[in-house]
Amino acid sequence: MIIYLSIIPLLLGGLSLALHRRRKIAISLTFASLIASAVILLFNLGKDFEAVIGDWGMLGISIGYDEFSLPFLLAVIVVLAAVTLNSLHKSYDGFFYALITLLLGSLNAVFITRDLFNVYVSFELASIIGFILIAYGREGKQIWATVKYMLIAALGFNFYLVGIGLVYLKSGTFSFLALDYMDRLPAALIFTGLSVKSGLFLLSMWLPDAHANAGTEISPILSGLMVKIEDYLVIRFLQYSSFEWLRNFYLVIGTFSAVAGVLFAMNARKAKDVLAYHTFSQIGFIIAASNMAAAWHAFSHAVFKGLLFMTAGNIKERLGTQKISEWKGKVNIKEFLPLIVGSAAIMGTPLTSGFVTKNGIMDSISGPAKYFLIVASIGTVISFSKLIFVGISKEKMKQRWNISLGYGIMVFTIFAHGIIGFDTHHTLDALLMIAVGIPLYFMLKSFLKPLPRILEKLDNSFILYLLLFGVMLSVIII
Amino acid sequence: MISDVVIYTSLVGAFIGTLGMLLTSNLIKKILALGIVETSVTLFFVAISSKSGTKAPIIQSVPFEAENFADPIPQAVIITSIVIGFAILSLLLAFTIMLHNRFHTVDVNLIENMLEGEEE
Repeated sequence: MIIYLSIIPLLLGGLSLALHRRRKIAISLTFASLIASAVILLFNLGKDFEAVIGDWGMLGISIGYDEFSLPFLLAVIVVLAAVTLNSLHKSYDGFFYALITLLLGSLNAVFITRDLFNVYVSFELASIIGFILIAYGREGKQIWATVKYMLIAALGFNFYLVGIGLVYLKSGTFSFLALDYMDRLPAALIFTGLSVKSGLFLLSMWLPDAHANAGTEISPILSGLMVKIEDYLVIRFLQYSSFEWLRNFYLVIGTFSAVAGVLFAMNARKAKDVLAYHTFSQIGFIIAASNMAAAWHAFSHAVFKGLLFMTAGNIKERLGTQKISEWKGKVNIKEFLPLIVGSAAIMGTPLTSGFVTKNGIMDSISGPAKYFLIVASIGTVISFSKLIFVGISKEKMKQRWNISLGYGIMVFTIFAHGIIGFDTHHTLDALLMIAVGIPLYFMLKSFLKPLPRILEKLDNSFILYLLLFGVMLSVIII
Repeated sequence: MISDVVIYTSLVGAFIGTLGMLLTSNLIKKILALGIVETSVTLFFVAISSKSGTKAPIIQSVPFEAENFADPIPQAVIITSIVIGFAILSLLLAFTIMLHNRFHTVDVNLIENMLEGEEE
């Protein structure tokens, strides 16, 4: 039964919260719940059903599972397993592992639920754990990034609550089925409420700060999983007829985000800043398409961005600096390999997962938006050339087995996905983009300077968010 | 009739709270304004539930025939959102204490300027 996908991790998480003084028990409970989720997912592969818990009809909480949930549920398991492995030798206490287990349960709950209010509850549970995790290192920057995130996100979620209140007023149920017969106002409120956590440019400007300053283990979770919740909900909600009119809106804003994010990423100097800004761009790709191909791109983005964030974090911890210019000639071959596999996947090199899913997105989009997305892809190559041409050191370095295993899981997933889904019809385009991007990088290299961060100040990001909300409302009224 | 008035009142309250979050630079006041928004949304759900009647939804005798019960579902679910709002507000206040210990101010602009100086 699919409900155990969220109940087992939540139960074990509660248990390890009670036993958090014993670190080993907490770690084994985390792995137990990861394995349990993987097994349950394996038994449900290929099925498609919807059920109501208890015997309450339309009033009960309905849960379901179909092909749209599968990429997201898989991404949760892969990223959380790799992150937990990577953290084993560090001084994280049992409390951290309890939070990871609870996060697994709440993320699974979001991806199987079919009830508007249950989405709110499980999304907020995941977010609260995310807030605590960002501030886990207790540095001033991390705490400030969390406060910024919390203030904007909490406001956005109150819009969402008003939206689902209006749905209830009209239909008398919180089930997703009510979304088929709905006015434009609640749809707009639900979408603006959710989009604050979506990672789209202009809507969630808290993102670079939070993602770049969080710890090595936390950034992959934030960029790989937390922003994917909203993408999942967008893809799911666009299946209902009341949301059809929003498709064009999302095409425009997704394309804009893809281009703007790449511009910022090209100009950033710190490794984690490049990755954080690049989340804007990749989320833009996903939101612009918002179909089955986009769901799989969300999966592959979670894996390769998680790998990149983990490697960058580990190099930063070893060398003590984030600036790419200071990494020159100091990166070991054992760290360079995962870095280059992740970069290749994000550029869409053939035989990696990025190639398969990006082609799916490109195929499903037509018109002028396609050209902008191609520009964004070339920008991706330019911004990741920085990481590729970083220079390797000859020194021998011992890497711990758990870190190598963490990298191994993700690299294996990238290649497995890339080889299973390989299709020759866009190979030339992908190679051409890379061939154009790398010379462009060497030409532009000296002109790239970090862009001003004015838009990311708390008040400015508030105003931008509310402005877009106002634009949305005025579109409905006109 | 009354529930319509309450719905509009709650939406105005949410609007005022949003303005409050925007216009002050004091972190504590921003959090208080967020509290106003959250309370207004709670009021909104209470107003929705009173659309069908104003009596408390408690059945006193088993063969019941009264019809003016308020809808219990929105009231039941909004309790969860009150709890989540409480968790977020207390977490925010805890982080504010940590920020105040570090920077000795709760002014948002001052904190941002200090962090920018830390960057170099």
